[in-house]
Amino acid sequence: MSKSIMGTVLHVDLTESRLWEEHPDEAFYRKYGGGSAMGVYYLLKEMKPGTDPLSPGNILTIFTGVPTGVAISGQSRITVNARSPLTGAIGDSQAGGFFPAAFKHAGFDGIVIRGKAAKPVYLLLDEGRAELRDASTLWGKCTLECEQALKTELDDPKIEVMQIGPAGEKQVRFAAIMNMRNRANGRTGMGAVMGSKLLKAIVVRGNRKLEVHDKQEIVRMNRDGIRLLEEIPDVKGLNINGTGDVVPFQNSIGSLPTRNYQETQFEDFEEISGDKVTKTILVNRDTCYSCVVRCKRVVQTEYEGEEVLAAYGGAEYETLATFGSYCGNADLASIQYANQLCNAYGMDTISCGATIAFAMDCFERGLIGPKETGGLDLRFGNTNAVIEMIRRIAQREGLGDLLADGSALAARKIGPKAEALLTTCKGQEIPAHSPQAKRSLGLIYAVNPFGADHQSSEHDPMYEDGGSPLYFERLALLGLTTPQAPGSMDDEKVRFAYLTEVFYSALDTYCLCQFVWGPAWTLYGPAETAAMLKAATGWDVDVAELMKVGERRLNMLRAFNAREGFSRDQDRLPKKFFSPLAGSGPTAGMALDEHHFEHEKDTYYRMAGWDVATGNPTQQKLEELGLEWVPV
Amino acid sequence: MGSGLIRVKVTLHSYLKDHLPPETDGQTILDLADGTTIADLSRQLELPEAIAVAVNENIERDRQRVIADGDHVRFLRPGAGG
Repeated sequence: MSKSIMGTVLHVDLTESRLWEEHPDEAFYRKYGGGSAMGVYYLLKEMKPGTDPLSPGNILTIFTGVPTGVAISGQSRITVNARSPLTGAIGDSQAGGFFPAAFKHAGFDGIVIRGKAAKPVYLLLDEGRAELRDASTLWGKCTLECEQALKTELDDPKIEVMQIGPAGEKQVRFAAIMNMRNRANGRTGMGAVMGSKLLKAIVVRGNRKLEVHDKQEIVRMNRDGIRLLEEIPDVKGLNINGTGDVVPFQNSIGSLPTRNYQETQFEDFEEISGDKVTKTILVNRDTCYSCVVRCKRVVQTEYEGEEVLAAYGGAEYETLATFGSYCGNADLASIQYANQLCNAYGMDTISCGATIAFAMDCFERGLIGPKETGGLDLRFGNTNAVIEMIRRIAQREGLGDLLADGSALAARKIGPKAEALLTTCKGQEIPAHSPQAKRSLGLIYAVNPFGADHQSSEHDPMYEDGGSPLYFERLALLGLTTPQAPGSMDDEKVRFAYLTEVFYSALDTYCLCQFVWGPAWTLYGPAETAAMLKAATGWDVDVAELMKVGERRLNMLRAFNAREGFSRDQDRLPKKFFSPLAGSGPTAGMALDEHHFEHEKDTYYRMAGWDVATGNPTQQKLEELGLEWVPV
Repeated sequence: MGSGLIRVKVTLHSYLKDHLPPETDGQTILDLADGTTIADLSRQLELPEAIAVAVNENIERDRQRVIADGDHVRFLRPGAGG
């Protein structure tokens, strides 16, 4: 067995309180790589189609990747999969921190969780041993309180904890699974699935030394990373200002969604920028296990007398936007407090902020009023209303109960005029990058198997203008050598979207951070990604194999959706993007064209080798990828 | 401004701030010769090439654009989010 693999998948049946181990062979690890490819392997094999996402029949999988836990930047990530209660499609979400490496060091590569416990439990993974324990006294606790209670109970301050907060317990459909209180498997409602199983937390403790095939090469690459951090400005920017560094750029290209995506420039963008955070409230730069980039923020401030604690971290770009410009809110302290509340209750900040912005839009247009909001003046810019609505969603109180199901389900109940205000794909709220400014990303929003996602392909701007020689040198390894005109969306742009999506899919399979490993602008490029995997495992990995692994995962996710009834009809952008944008900036007045967009989808499906009529994988494609066992 | 000079506001974001004195925090007012282009200003500030530029809050791809009196020129790091 390759040295960077533990060789153990833990199976848990919560209904039967039964635990058992599986030891897959090395070929399984090389073929599926880890992450969502491994997770969805078990979902496809063992879960019945049509399973209610919040029923005991849903299977929750948690997997690291083959290189997780190796002492190099950007490898400590973990992926969660299940059928999503938010979308009904495959759920998929990644998170970083120290938990993923610690999970591997505790002796496990992944967990497959079935059933539902009779009472709240937590799972302890301790030096290769696994045990279910009573979590009755932890139920109801926020994430910091729960983590502290577990450290006291186990008398060990060094344990790492992955857990749900009260929002997961109440099955908020965009509930997150949190680790370190500030790292979220945020998207697609995986926290609600964990809550439905009465599984409060997974605690890991372990110091198993992870060997690698070529330690000298890993050490050399890690040292090289320190040099590259200073030399690659796009990564250095993440270190200096975190992901919020991009706020001014996003605003300048008309890609900073404002007031529920009515506009894409925010007049107060400087107030919510990474520059502003660094200048006013930053107290530290945090990191994940063994990573030199240190892109995570630690802030201290207060909002309305409430302290924003360092323990809950600082808001990322998406959070600055969803609780800032989306809601017409320029109060940075309130955004940081909103971030803290989401991390404490355990909720995805993108879906939560975007859902509140949607509700504000409904309120401004009279589709809901004070009767529905319980007297709350839910206008854009009312910061206190945003904060109060987060609390109500997490507790499922009043209008919060409706919004806790996500904006798409809420709109169905409010009415057709509300549905016209949605910014969702497959029922998941779109992140903070406008499809008018980033045309290829708009396509990926629509076709991505788990709903709109901004970390599933490379974004357009650098392929249009401003990419460095290194950026183009790396992209050439994927066969992308023809930069495109700004704002364009022809077949070459679709190819850019598809090929970078496949590479990102490989990163999500191996559970690698997309700020460190990537096809173009990151600390390491495609060649280094293959080299690192080779040094970790001893396998003779090349870029072509990475692409095959990425393509395999993508086909597995699509195949899961196909059996749940999804097809190209669900690969849609919200209606409002086909109407002109209001406001100022380069995308003001722009609308996407429906006919052109359908043509983009045709081209994309052909490139993927899928059936153009349905958008689903063909038998031929599945066989080509060694997935002949997957039903079509 | 007259006298063949224009006055512009210049903001350098992110790691680019280092190209102005620390006390400016990346923002300054400059008097430039009439006819100065974005490329000229970029050279004057010794900025790298692969960066983005916005003039009056709109992305500007033409480096030969002549800067006008009263313009606000921003030099930015392009990138994705997170």
